[in-house]
Amino acid sequence: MPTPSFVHRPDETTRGAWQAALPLLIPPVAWLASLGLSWLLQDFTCTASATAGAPAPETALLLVLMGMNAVLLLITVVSGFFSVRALRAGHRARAPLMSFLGLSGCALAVLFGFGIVLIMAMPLVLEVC
Amino acid sequence: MAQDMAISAAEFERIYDKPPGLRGFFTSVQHKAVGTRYMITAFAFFLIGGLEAMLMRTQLAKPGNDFLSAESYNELFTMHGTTMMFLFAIPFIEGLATYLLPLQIGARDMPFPRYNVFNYWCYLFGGLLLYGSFLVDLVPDAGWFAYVPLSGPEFADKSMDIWLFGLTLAEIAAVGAAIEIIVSVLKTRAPGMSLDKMPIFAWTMLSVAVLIIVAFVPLIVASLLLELDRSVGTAFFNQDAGGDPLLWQHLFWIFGHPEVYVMFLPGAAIMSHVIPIHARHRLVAYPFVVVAVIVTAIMSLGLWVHHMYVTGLPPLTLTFFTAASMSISLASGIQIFAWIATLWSGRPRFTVPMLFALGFIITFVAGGITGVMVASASFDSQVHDTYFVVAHFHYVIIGGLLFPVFAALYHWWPKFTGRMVNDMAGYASFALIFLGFHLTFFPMHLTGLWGLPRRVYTYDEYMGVETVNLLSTIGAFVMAVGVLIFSVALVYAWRCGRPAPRDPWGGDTLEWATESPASSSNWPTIPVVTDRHPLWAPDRDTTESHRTMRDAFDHRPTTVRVSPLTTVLSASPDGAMRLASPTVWPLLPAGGLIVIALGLLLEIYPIAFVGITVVAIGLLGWARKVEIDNGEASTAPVGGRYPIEARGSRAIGWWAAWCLVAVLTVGMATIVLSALFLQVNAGNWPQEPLGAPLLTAAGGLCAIVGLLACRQGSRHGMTQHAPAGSRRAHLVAAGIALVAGVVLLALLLTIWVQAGKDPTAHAYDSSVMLLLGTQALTVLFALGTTVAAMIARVMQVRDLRPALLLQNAAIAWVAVLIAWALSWVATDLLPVAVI
Repeated sequence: MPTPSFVHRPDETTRGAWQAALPLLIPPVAWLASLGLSWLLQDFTCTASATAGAPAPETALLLVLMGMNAVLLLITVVSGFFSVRALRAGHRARAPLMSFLGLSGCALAVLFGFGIVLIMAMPLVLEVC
Repeated sequence: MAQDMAISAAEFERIYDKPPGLRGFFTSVQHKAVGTRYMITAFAFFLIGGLEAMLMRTQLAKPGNDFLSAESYNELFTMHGTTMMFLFAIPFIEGLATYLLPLQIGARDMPFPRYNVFNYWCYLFGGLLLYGSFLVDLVPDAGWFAYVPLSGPEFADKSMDIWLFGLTLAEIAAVGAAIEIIVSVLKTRAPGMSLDKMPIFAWTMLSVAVLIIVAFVPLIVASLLLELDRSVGTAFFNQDAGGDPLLWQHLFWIFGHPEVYVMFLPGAAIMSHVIPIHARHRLVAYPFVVVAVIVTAIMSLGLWVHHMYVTGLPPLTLTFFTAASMSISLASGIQIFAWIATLWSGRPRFTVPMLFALGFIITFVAGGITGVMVASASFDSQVHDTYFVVAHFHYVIIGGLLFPVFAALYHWWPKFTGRMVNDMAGYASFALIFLGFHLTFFPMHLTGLWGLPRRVYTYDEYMGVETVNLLSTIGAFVMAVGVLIFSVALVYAWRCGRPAPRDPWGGDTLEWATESPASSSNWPTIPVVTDRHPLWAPDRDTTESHRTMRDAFDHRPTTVRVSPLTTVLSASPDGAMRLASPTVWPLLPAGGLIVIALGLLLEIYPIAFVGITVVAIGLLGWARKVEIDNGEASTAPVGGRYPIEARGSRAIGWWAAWCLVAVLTVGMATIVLSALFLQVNAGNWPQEPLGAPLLTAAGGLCAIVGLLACRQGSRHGMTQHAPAGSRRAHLVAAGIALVAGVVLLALLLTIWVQAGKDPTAHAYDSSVMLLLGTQALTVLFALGTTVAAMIARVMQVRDLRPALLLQNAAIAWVAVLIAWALSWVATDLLPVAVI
């Protein structure tokens, strides 16, 4: 559990600053990775196969896309979980900054998590290549 | 110490005053002067861009009109788009932020005032270069998007080169301003202004600045690729030689779509200030508005493909971006609901800023709805390149940016000038602008759905769109009259308006606590913040540490310009920053850049070399001036406890250096991904590595040596503000890094010569040249920072400052290492790893 000093002044130490800031940074990075890598892997693999006249590894690509997005979603959910903890710690200690960071982290995890689910669902609906 | 002796308030302000007259014009670096210049210049460009729009609307008033030739029409729509996007919207927002942020967050200036004014000069010169095209009858005409091959060497003349150089200068300015804003918001907030108490405008400008760094650098890279294709004959966009015109669209829209949000988000932030103040109620759901700003900024980076739905990309690719495009509407919706709830909960006053705010909500929501429509690939394929899209983005941009800018001007004009603007003129201009806007752009939805393509200079009578086009033209003139009244009212108020009180609207944020206009120093006494709405909250007990900082900075220091620094999350007292004094030096490198551009455009290369010399002299003179200003007495800790020179993340230079590393990394990553894109799309990409493993490895070794030398050197004399005998260690460290840099440059040249590549023959060869060239540029950047550290070492007696500059140089060497690694991936790994 965070110490009271950490809750009131998270940037007193470098570790505390990172601990407080990471739940704000992880969901956006996870969503960007989900979109960027999904596009990069799918589009570039299919295009490269077509250019080379080789069959596209559709099943393998589908599995990679699903697996990668599942991991990114999990990371986002875990980040949201830590934000909930920060929010509760902030409320308990009457530390508005920590409460704000916790609430923002939760909301970011929900919104970006939803975004990852939308991206993840697409290969299940359409052909991979 | 002399600087601790008390002086009068007037004497204190004189330290921050700008020099009078012409000298002041060329040497002033204070944020209010720079911000004002940005806004005036941008508004002038806005009026010119508006005039171009009027000429186009006159041409389109009736079918088969010959008011303009097809060529003139192409030139006008190119310059209209370019002007509004690059010369008005972004610079105006950056000017507003430059003026307002220090007032809102309780700082005496922005962290790097000279860099700030350098960016302004780059922007001004870029704009003048673009409009200089009218003087030589070489006006760009390939559209503001400059699609290849229309803008390539085959179809476009010298006008395109003018466009590319002018644009790049403006983009360099935008990226520089973004770095300034990031450091400003993170480190220079008043004590107590923790992240949960930060104004929405500051949150937004922070998000937007990050967005600019990630999104604008790809456009600079794209401009470089196109210019190389045009002037050197490289093959990046030449399909016969492994290139691909579609690469331009990817790079342009990776910039272009976030650009829309770079405009909209500050507009929304203005609303988050105007609506609560004029509704006399706190902004409802502040944390969710902050979240919405962050989500919008990040998601905007992943939407670019929805501009490319009809380019033949695979269906699954399109759906990824459709999903992202739909997701972002959630975030925008949160902000809209927050404003409506604030209006609902408050007691709104229908002032001029409030009317523009209401106009914004109505217009932007309409534009947002059509945005969701065109985010669907199937609908977009029907209306792509029709007037429906023109209507949509004008609803978003004029609704999302121009209405808020007009609201902001009325709202903050008393703070800028100390004068109130006439209300009747404001009501009249709002009515004309709002009605004129909807009369102009609503009919365009219909013309688009009825099949009128955009970017055509005339249309036939049989299309049945003459009435709606005439309505659009009438609306445009009504809107223009509104803008004219608005502009005249502002100028009149500035010269003859009635004096404005400190806080004419009953505002909540810090800027309303300053005089109107704010004094030269902004804050002779540094404010201590205990609430999100400091002017609406009763005075609360401040902490001991905050009070101590306020007392230490109260009308102090008395000889130099200094502002407090606080920690990133909780805004606890963390140190102080020395603010730069007026100087002409930043003008020189900016002037040198425009001379280089002119030399290259005229193909008179000695002129370009003169420009390079001017840049070099300017930078050296600038560095020397910095060291003269940062003598031992002027950098002593404020009040004996707030250090001006501190190591690591306590120093503003540390943050700026990492921002520059981010810029270079994004640039290099863009080039590598471009090469990968070309590789997977080209059937004839070489499948062998570059073939210089030893030389490449030696290059990496040089980067590591440079990094380690600077890092090791920075550890000497890092702890105290006094000489500690580290001179030799610093000189040796900088010397080793300089040698490593020169050797690395030589190695890059050798690799290029040995590889025997012809950059005009194939896109792979072009990529190799660009990657090695960009690496060399990164090395030059690291060498520059190392030379700056060396100058500091030679000129300073104490050890701390050279040690800090070596620390920054070490960060620059990290950029060299990243560039080397990414370059190796593209030249040696990918050709083997990708089929």
